Amino acid sequence: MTSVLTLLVLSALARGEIYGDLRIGDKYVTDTKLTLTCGAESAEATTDKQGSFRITVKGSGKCKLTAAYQNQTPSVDVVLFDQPARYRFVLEAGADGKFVLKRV
Amino acid sequence: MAGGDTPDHKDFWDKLQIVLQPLGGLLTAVAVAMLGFMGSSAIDRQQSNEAKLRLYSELMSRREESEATLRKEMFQSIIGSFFDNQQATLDARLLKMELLAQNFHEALNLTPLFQHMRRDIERANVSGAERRSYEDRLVDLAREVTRKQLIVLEAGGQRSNYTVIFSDSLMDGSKSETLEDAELTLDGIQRRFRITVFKVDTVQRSARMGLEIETPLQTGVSQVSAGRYAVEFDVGFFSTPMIDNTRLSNDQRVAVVLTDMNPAGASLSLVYFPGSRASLREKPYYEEILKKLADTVVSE
Repeated sequence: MTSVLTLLVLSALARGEIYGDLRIGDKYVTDTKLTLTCGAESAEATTDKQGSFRITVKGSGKCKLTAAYQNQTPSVDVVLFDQPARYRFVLEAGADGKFVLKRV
Repeated sequence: MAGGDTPDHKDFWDKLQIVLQPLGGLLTAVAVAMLGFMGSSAIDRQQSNEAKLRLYSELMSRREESEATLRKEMFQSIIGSFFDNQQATLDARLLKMELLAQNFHEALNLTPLFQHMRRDIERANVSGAERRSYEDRLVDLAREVTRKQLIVLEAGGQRSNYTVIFSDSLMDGSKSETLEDAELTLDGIQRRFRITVFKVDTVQRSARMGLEIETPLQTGVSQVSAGRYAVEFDVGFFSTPMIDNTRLSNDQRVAVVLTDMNPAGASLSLVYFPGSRASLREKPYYEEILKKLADTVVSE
């Protein structure tokens, strides 16, 4: 019981970090707002001139990353680990014009 | 007219011929001399280049030889002390493991040693905190080796990354999860890869997986090599892609790597790379060598 509680407390205190880049095809997407949501906690970042980002949030485990791009907010599930994890994403436009955010 | 001056019948062209005749001889001599000089310089240059190449290859082979001797001695010393001295402390044995892994990860399958060390750590008479610290050190070492190998393989091949979110059914193995297909092309050979995760073990941090490989019939792929194949294997932090990989036709390889895992999910990478980047202990098949030689001759 104590170890479970310790684990819960530790995971609540843990800080997770993801970094990487965002593209559409071969082109890097700049100045795009990304939101990482882990339970009640969330953090935001904007892709830089090279399309790169780095977001740190309180919490770990399963989280959701949302990109705000051309009035759309496609999202993808990510996992935050005890060490910073590299994620490379692409935005793919579907036949209906809706963007899908995918890890590559 | 008798006894008179003989008239000079030589016109301008005759005079020019008289003047140019010795000059022509001189010019021919100069041309022959120049040709000889240029020819001998070209031969000198070629010989000098050949000498430089010979010296370079000699230096390289000497360096390789001394490096191989050094590595052999180092390997024998580390591996010998690893097995001879079982009384050594866990810390000292971990240090030897680190030396082995950092220096020989491209040539040696370290998985049995990693597993052996893990069992030793589990059995060791140390506190819980110390045990966790040793386990973390071992896992960090394995991940560092995998990270280094992935960089080398990705540089010469193709990589696709995946995130797997764990469900209860995936944890108990009652339901598998198929990941999105990756269609990758390497050296003109296009293949489709599909990973299926059958079961995950978050305690041992490993997963049972299936990999389906489809190679369409295309230029450069024989009828026998084309088609769909499937393999099943376990992947953990101790699996290294240069050694734990699947051999494909056309001297190519594919490996699935577990880059991270926690109770919520895992991060996986599929890397598709040429056989030349695989472990040093792996040799290409003879027919593959012959095919490569034939291809080189044709391209020349």
